[in-house]
Order: sequence, then structure tokens, then C-alpha cells
Amino acid sequence: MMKDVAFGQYYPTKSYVHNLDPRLKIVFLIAYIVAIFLAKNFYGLACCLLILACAIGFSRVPVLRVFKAIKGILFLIVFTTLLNLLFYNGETVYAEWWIFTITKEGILFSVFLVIRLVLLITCSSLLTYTTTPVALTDGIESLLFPLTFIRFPVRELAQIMSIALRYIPILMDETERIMNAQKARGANFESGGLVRRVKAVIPVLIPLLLSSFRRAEELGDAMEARCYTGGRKRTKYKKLRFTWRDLLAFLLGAALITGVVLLNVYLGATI
Amino acid sequence: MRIRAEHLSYTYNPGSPFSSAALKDVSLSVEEGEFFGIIGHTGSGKSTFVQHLNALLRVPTSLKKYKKKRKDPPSDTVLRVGEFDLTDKKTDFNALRSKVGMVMQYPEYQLFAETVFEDVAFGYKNFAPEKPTKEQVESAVRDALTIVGLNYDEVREMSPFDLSGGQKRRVAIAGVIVTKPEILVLDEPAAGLDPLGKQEVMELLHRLHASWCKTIIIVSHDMDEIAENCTRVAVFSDGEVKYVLPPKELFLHAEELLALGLDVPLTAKICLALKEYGIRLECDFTTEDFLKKALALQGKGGSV
Amino acid sequence: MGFVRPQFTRDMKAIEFENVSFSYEEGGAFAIKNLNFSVEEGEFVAILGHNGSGKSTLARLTNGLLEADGGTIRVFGEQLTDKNLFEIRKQVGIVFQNPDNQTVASIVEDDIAFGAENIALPREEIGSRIGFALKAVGMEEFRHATVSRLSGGQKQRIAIAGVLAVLPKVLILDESTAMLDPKGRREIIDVVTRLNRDEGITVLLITHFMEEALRATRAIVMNRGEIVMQGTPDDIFERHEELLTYNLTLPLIGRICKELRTGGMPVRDTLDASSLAKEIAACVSGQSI
Repeated sequence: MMKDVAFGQYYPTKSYVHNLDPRLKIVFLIAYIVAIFLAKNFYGLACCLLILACAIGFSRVPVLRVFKAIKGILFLIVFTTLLNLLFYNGETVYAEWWIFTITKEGILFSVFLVIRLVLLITCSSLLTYTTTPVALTDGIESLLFPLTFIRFPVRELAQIMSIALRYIPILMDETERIMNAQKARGANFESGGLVRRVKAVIPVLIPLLLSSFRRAEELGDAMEARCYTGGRKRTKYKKLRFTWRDLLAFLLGAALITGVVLLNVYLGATI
Repeated sequence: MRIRAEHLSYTYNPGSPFSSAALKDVSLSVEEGEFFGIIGHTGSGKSTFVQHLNALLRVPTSLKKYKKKRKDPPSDTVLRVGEFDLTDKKTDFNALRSKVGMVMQYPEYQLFAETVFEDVAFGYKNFAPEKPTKEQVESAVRDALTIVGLNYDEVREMSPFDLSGGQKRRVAIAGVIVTKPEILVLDEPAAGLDPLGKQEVMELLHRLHASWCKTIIIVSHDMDEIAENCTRVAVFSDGEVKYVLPPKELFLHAEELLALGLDVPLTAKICLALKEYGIRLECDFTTEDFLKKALALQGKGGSV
Repeated sequence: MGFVRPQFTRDMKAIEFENVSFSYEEGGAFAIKNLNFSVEEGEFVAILGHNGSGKSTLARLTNGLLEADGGTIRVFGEQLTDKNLFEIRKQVGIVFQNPDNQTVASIVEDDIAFGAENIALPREEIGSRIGFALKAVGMEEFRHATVSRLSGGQKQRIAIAGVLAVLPKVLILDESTAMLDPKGRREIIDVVTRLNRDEGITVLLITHFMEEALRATRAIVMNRGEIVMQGTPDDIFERHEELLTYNLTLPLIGRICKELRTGGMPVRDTLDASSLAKEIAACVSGQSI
């Protein structure tokens, strides 16, 4: 029912973070990720954590919801952490067994890694929680704009992304509808072996493909009828504009990187 | 088979910020043999209700993973279709689905097989308790295609995608009724067809009602269609059932229905407008009865 | 200020078909057969026909989505060729059948902007055209709404607005009401009638619902790629036996009028419930009301 919202995880509410220019959020995110990996001691990471906490606070997205994003990759985090914990080549050895060694450096590195991964996932999902897919596309298009000078089809790419965003929820709905219709005709998607399950997908896949082609064709006609040619010069109605709040976010991002680097220099690197 | 729903509620995405109650404590029964109509806006809960009837949507207690939580309110939900108890996990939902056919909106978009035969046979093979013989499948498909008004020998080897719009829809309906369901539920069966196609589909439904499917339930926006065909009508609005009445009585509430943003049949509109001229025309809102009563007015110069 | 429009002498035809033929497959059956017809500027023409009668093909030919096999198509006197497609499409807008397959953006105003962006209008102009188009379809308050949350009728009104933003002089509705519920259908017909009356837009309404043709100034019935009937909607509905042979049925209200007359109640043909009530009242009381 509400797939248009659930898709892309957008969390609809009004906040300072929601209102920021999407380009800034993207740039800030990149800066933030760089900072996470530049930080070589706990002070630097603590800084990053503090900033993220503020960002979450300002975004008015429930904290639990933000951390939900981590659940999805929990396995990955545990796995890489264990790998590092058991195989990291450090000097201060605490324990050794068969091919595994646990060292002080290994433990420190693993702890850093966990913190970094959690920060990474949380801040990226905060971006998708606070930015509509449309704004995100606009932001990416605008950021990639310099590439048009090397003839990279940024406009077309953006158009494709925007149409995809419009049609993904429609196709999700349609998939559900077709699955329901075939279920009503006795199709079983839940049980059986691999072959049986693959076979069960056909009655859904074919109508879905056919309908996508039909949609694509009709949409193409509708676009052409509205004077879309692909080649001709177009104008753009929506321009993204910087405001003082965006400037503030930009300065904050720059300050964060500088701060983290300075902390590294003055307080020494832990790893 | 009788359908009985009591205190049926349903919420989409429970516990999330997008949660929305689609059904609120709905109680509604449909007797065997009815030609039952369901009307209401998009989002009124009518589709949610209908999807419960063949377990496309489930009462939570019927789900395998359902465990009663202490904070759950005591459930007094009843949902029975014939002998099937849809609130019970042990119910054979596959058997239920073969007894309750469901024709979705624009069913022709669910056709997938290479030939008409294969497409219609799909449901039959799926529901057969043991592998049916070739003859059994053939005779079932032949019967289904014949009753929807297609020539079996002509269309059996054709690709369903080469048929005309109206024919496609009839093949899709054949694919649902091939198991001879006792209850047939149709969501907007005539949507998007031209007037002739509409008429054919409605005739088909009456043919089915008279032969295979004891109970027919249609969800429709077309009030003329409802007034003309249904024994009783349920009006859904905002997740609740506002009225369950025969068309004859329901459309006496024309003003209330219009206030709900719903349409009324043309005959009801004319009767409503006649009131302004001080003329009371009482009819059951079918065209036939309307004409009879309207003509009877003449000469009497007053009310009938 | 104003555009310098080419000056034409005498009567200005918005659309002219001269011996136009078209078939989907080479050597296959004609979807449009040797068609001759024209539409005056400012007219509201309904094109009726059952599925497969060629009426949708006609729409696609008019703005060059399909290319005729033979014959000439002129739009405001200008012959349609490969070279002037873009200019012609600015003049002739089409709204199609499926409300879900016409929008390119998720937000209403972004979608309406699409056509205006394509013809490279300046930003401010696009903004004011979105305003105009939304007002014309009566959906101003939906400017920032999400398209997927709208009803079918509302989506089609947005599709109309998207076409209007290019300021076409001709609007073609290619079965744009076929997938809508009765309420949605009425919304669309109301909007189109208003556009024709107030904005002077030439309208071609392609439909298989006879009752929708009532507001038109002229109705054309097509069958097998040819025009088989033409006249005012009233004239056409008078000839109901003939309509039946083309697989078209009289709207319910038309049937009721006819049956009442057959039963001896002399009501005049009308296509609206309240005027029929008035007719009946007049007959019952034996005097005109």
C-alpha cells in the first residue's frame, strides 16, 4: 500500500536535516565517511559519533529506526570483526591457538572496525531517511553535472533514474497483484524444492515482463507526445539553491575533517 | 457455502509509522445463492475484505508463526466460509482457494502460458489433489472455455496474447472457474471493456450463477450494474460497513450515498429529481421496473 | 507582444485528413482506410467506435506517433512531415488511456513541468504554466502531491495538465476515461468541456462510452477504419438501430427515453437525469413544467 514511501526508506517528517540541499547532504556524507577512516584514535571517532548523534537528533527520525539499518548487515559486521580479531598480525599476543592469534592490536583494530562500520551504515541510512528519492536523484545529477563536459549523458541518466523511481513502486504493486492472482489459482510460492520454486516464478514473471514492456511502450509514446526528443536542448524547472543553512552544513563537514586530522596529529594514532 | 465474518479487523504495516487500519470491526454475512454487490471508494476496505475470503490476506491467528502475545486483546473474530474456519491455522487453505474463485481487476494481465489451454489448465492442475489424467484436464478446460462463451477447438492452441480484449478477459475468467468454485468473487469484472464487452461479461456471470457458482460477489463502481444484478449490496466506507441492503432499499438512501461521495444508479437519480416535482416513484431501481412504474404514473397524475 | 502566426486565408481547419490510410503490418488489414475528415478550430468532436475500430490509430497519426502509409494530414494548414513533428506536437497534445503510464515524475509539479522543459521554456515561464495547467484541471492544491497517491481520475487530470503546460491548441483524449470509475470519468469530461468552452481548445474525444459524446458539438462513428456516421450527438443517438450494427449501445438514459416513448409517454430525448425527471413530470401532470 505505502510502497512509494517505504521504498528508499524515506521517513516523512519536517526537520532541519530534511530541508538541507540534497547535494550538501551527499557531499557532507562523503566528507563524513572520509573522516571516519581518517580518524586514527578514539577521540576522532568520538567526534564523529557526536556529530552523527546531533544529526540524528536534528533529523527527528526515531533513533531505533536509524539503528534498524544496522540489523541488515549485522552478520557482515560480526563476520569481518571476527576475521580481524582472529587473524590480525599484532605484536602483543594475548592468546594463540592453531592458526588463530588474538593480539592487543587485533582487538583495537576490531573495535575500531565495528565503530566505523556502524557509523558508516547509520550515516548513509540517515541520508536516505531524510532525503526523498527524487531529491537524491536531483542532487546526484547536479553533482555529476561537470561530467557533461566530457559528454557523459548526465541528463539522460537522471531522467532514467527519475522514471525508475516513479515506476518501482508501481511494479512492486503489480508484482503483488499478479502473485495474488496466481495464488488464487493455486500457485504455491512458499514450498517445494529449488526447481519447483523457480518454476513457480514463471506465471508471475511473464505477466510482469509483458506489462513492463507495455508500460514502457505507452510511456515512450506519452513522452514523445509531450515533445520529448532525447537530443534537443531542454530546460529545468527545479534548481537546487544554497541557503545559509547549507553553508553551515558545509562548514561543519570541512571542520569535521580538519578536526579529526588535527586530533590524529596532536593526540597520536592508536592504530 | 455461507460466508460469515464477525468483528473482522485488518491493519496494514502494523506497528510502523505507515500503519493504516483497512478494516475496522467488520461484520458481514453472505448467504449461499446470493449475487452480492460490494461498493465503496478506493481505500474503503472493500478489497481488503474480499481478499480475506480466499485467504490472500489472513487473519493473524491463522498464520503458522502466530503466537498469542499476552497484550493481544481477546479475539472475537469469526471468519468462516462454509466449513472452513479462516481463523484457524489447521485449515486447508489450498482447498479453500479451489472453492472460492477470485477474479482480480483486469484479470487478462495475469495470462502467462503459451496457449489458452495451458493457461486455463494451470489452476486445475494446481488444485487437483492428485495428478489428473490428460482426459480430466481436457474436459475441465473444455467445460470452462465453453461456459465463458469461447469455442474450445478454435482457441485451445492459440496464444492468449493474440486474442481480443474481451476474449482475453473471458479466458482469464475461465482460468479461475476451471475448478468449479462454489463462490466466485470478481473485482470490477467489466472495467475497461466497451459496452458490448460489458454486457457479455454480465451475461456470463448470470450464466455462471445459474450453473457452477452458487454465490457470486462483485466489487463494482458501476451502480447501474449493481442495481440491475445484485440481490444485496454492502457499502464500505473508511474500513467499515455502512449498509447491507437489497438495492431496492439501499438506493432509497440516495442522498446519504451521494454524501459519502458514492454514485447512485441512473434510475435512483431520476426518482430523486422527481421528488422535487412532488412525484413519488417507487421502484426496485432496475431499468425494467422503473419503466413499468414510470409508465404507470401517467394517467394517475400522482404517485404510484 | 504576441506570436507572429502564419496568416491563412479563409476557414482555418485545425486538423485535416485527406485520403489517409494506415495498416500496422505491411500488406495487412487497414486500421485506417482512405479517411477524409476535418476538424474546425474550437470544435469539440467525439469519435466513437468499438474496440479495434481504428479510432486510436487516428489519434496517433494526428501528431505523428504513427506515420500514414498514404494520404496527407494537415495541422493548422501545415502538412505533417518528419521535419515539423516537433512543431506539430506542440500544437497537438494527447492524453492516453492508462493513468499510470503517462507520468514521468513522482511529484505532480515535476511531471507537469516535463513537457514545458522539453520545449525549453525559461524557468519562470514553466512555473507559471504549471500554475495555469493545474488551475485549468482544478487541482491547484495538489501541486506538491505524490502522483501515486492520487485517484485514477486525478491522475488523468494531471496527465491533461501535463499536456496543457505545452499550450497545445488541440487536445486529443485517446480513451482517457476507459480505465476510470464513473466519478473519474465525469471529472475528465467536465474538465475537457471547460477547456473547450473557456480556453477555446479544440477537443477530439475518443471514447466508447456513448454518454460522453453528449457534450460534443459533433460526433463521428468509426467502424473498421472508416467513418460510418457523422452528425450532432443527438442525431447520432436518434439512429440507435444503426449504432447497434457498429457494436455500439445507446447510453442507459437514451434507452430509458426510448422505452418510455414506446410505452406511450412522450418524453423528449435528453441525456441528463434531472431534465428527464422534468420531462416525466411534465407528461405525468399533463402540462409543461
